[in-house]
Amino acid sequence: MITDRSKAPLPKEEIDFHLPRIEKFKLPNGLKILFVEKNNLPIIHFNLVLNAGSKFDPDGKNGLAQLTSMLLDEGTKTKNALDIDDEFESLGTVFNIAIDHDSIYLSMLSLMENLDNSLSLFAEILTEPAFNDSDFEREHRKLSTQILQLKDQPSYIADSIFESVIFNGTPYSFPVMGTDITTKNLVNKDVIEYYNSKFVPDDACLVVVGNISTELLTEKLKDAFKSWSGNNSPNSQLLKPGEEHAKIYIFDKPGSPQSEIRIGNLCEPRDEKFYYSKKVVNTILGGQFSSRINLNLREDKGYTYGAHSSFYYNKLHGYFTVATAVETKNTVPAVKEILKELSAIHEGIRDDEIAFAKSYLIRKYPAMFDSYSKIASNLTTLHVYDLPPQYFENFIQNIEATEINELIAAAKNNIKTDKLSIVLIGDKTSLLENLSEEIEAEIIEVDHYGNSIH
Amino acid sequence: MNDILNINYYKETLDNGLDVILYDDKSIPLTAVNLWYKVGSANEKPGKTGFAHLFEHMMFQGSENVSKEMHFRYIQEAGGSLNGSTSFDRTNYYETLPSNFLELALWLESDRMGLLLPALTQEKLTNQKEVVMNERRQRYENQPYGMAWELLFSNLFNDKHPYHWPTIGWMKDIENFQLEDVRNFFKTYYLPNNTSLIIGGDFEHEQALDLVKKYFGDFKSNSDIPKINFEQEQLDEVIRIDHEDDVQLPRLYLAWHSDKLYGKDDAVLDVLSEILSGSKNTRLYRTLVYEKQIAQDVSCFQYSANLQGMFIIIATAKPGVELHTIREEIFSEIEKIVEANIEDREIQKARNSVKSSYIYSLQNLSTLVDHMNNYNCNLNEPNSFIFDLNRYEQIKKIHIINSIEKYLDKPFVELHIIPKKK
Repeated sequence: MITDRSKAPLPKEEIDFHLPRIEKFKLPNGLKILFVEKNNLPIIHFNLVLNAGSKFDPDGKNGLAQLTSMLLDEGTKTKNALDIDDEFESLGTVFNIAIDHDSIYLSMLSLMENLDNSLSLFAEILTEPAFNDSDFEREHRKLSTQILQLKDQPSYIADSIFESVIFNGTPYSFPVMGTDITTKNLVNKDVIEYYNSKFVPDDACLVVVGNISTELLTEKLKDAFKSWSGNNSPNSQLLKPGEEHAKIYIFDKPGSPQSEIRIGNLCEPRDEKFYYSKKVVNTILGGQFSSRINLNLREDKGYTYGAHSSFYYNKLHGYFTVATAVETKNTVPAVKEILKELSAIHEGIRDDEIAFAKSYLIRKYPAMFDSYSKIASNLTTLHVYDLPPQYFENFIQNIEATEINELIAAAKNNIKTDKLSIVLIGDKTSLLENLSEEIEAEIIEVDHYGNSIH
Repeated sequence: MNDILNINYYKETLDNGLDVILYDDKSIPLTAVNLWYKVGSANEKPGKTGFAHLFEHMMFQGSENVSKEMHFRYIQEAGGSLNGSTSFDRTNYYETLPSNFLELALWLESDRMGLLLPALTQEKLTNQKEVVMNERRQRYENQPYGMAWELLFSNLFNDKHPYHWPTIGWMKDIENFQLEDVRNFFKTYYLPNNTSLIIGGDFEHEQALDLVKKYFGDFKSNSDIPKINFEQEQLDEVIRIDHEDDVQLPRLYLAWHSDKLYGKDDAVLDVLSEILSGSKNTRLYRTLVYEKQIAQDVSCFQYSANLQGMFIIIATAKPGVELHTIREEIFSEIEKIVEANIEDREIQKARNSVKSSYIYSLQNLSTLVDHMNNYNCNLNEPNSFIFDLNRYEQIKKIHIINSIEKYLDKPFVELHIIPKKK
């Protein structure tokens, strides 16, 4: 018998998927806990979110939060950096510190059999850092070398310049790492002050996903964090970004075989009302492989290895970006195609595109909860954006409910075709040859941090 | 703890030679499908490099019953995720979908295994050639230190050795891809008897097996798959290369020939790399980065492949530090391991971190089945986590000393990537 392959097989009956149950409680010191019990493996994942990201860096000291996060696990009252690392390695525990503009994240993945030792070391790092001068010197030098090295990285330069331009005048315009100038004069006292004022439990959140009961976990956490206390001082009002204008920013990288391209603008912040429409619009426009932008630039024109767009959010703002890297000679044609796609999405969206996007977003939802780490990352999102408790339960119906007129409105309100910032990292001479004739916008040459150099 | 690493599975080889493995886990309503084709860049010929990787593109361009762009669309519309990757020795393709879409995945995978060529056109090839050239620019040519790998491999292995060229291929070979060569490469290697298929996750056993037979059963095997001819490569003397790049800091690469994947000394060299630089309190990291602060970073690994392995050490100089200073420190630390003793603690630490990393990897279905396929293709036994871990349990100090003498006391390739003179 010959198999009939002519039609795509249809799915079997719909799957039965249950969201994990989220427990929410507080420790006596004010630390908020978000917990999911998951028992198929003997492991546990922690993610502590501290309200201490780089947007709180004092004026002229950008990079301080980053340096503080680097120093945190470099020594406690009784252990140096090597002892700490040795202990984690021997336990088979993975410990990591990360930072963005809003928060500092301490994460840990441990075997259940080593939970007590892992947790006690985690708490010691958090509450008893040594901040020795010699460690400061070493990490300070490491940071300035990292800043130097990032000047090699075209995609990093593109992101930094784009953020500096759209967030102009606010702390979000500075790279998390800081710059050569702002990190140069940091001293250990700055780090200690930053730690004392920002590393406090009352506006932090600990996410836990693991093979443990709520009762036992609570008991262990109370014990581990009993000496941690303090309140965050109220933050000063953060500044609003300046007005956006359609401009082209060029960073010259002579002889570069490719150009990095970023095109976008500020948009509405993350809020429940418009989030889902933006999500569906972006899925169609550039959020996945089969999107308009990728199919045009990669699968039709062959300009790039990949092109995508995204709505990004921090706690206060939203922004929209298209990002890609293309061969130098195709840079201007690629920019024109992107601009064409951004205008086109204002004009209309087909029903089959909407059906595809909704099916994609809804059906992939269960896979977002398949591992300990992914569940932890979802709980972190819940905390960072202060989402409603029913967010996960309602996600699917909220996507389902978006209608064509809302999608078009979301596109028009959030993709501002008359105010786009265009950032190009590449060979200036070659870019300038045809740029000014082809695209109407002021061209500005900038340095690594988006400052005009003329 | 070893119980959870003991994986239950079912394995059957179809009449046409396709290995089929089923791994049952109903904890989440997802199914992962993973195929390893035993063809990689080592199967290519000089002048025609990059073909194995090209297929990682062409296999997503549609087949007889699937039009261009629809392969991705079908799986994405079902809420699945998908990708593929290419190495010296194999190409893999994989997708994870809600479990009610298993048949869709098998239909798509079988259509491109058996019926890719009727839908392969010059137009698709020309388009993906451009995409691959841009991938090469983005991942290597426009990346700081991006040319290091092909410089290392092409010097470590002579121009007749199958590991001499980069997996993505030389740019001039990519430019010259011919449709006829592409067809022949596919006919030679994309065969059921050169492939191992795993289905993992939530499915009904009998039904899954029937579907695999329905969709893959009528493809013909071909026993004429060419063997790779090569000679074990040895260097007669140290090869030193200086390469200028658009970078701020000089970086040193040292590369030796070493044991192949799952060879007698493979795990020993893994442990050696952990002892040298696997974490902060290790020989090279402590000396170069923590104490003397002459390097910004140092890393080191046993890169084991099917034909031969490579042992590689990489360190980036701090501003103002010369690479020869770093090089001397590295050799002096390796010497110290041989002369003085290794502590039990160092070996135990390396074992513990390998073991816990295996347990952590079980939480992701797609990672787990890919690991099982690796074991099936290389050890003919998908359930090999415990065997694999035991390789590490048996390592003694003397094995590490012996491996240093056997591999690292030989000539090597020394590559200096240095900042362009302004």
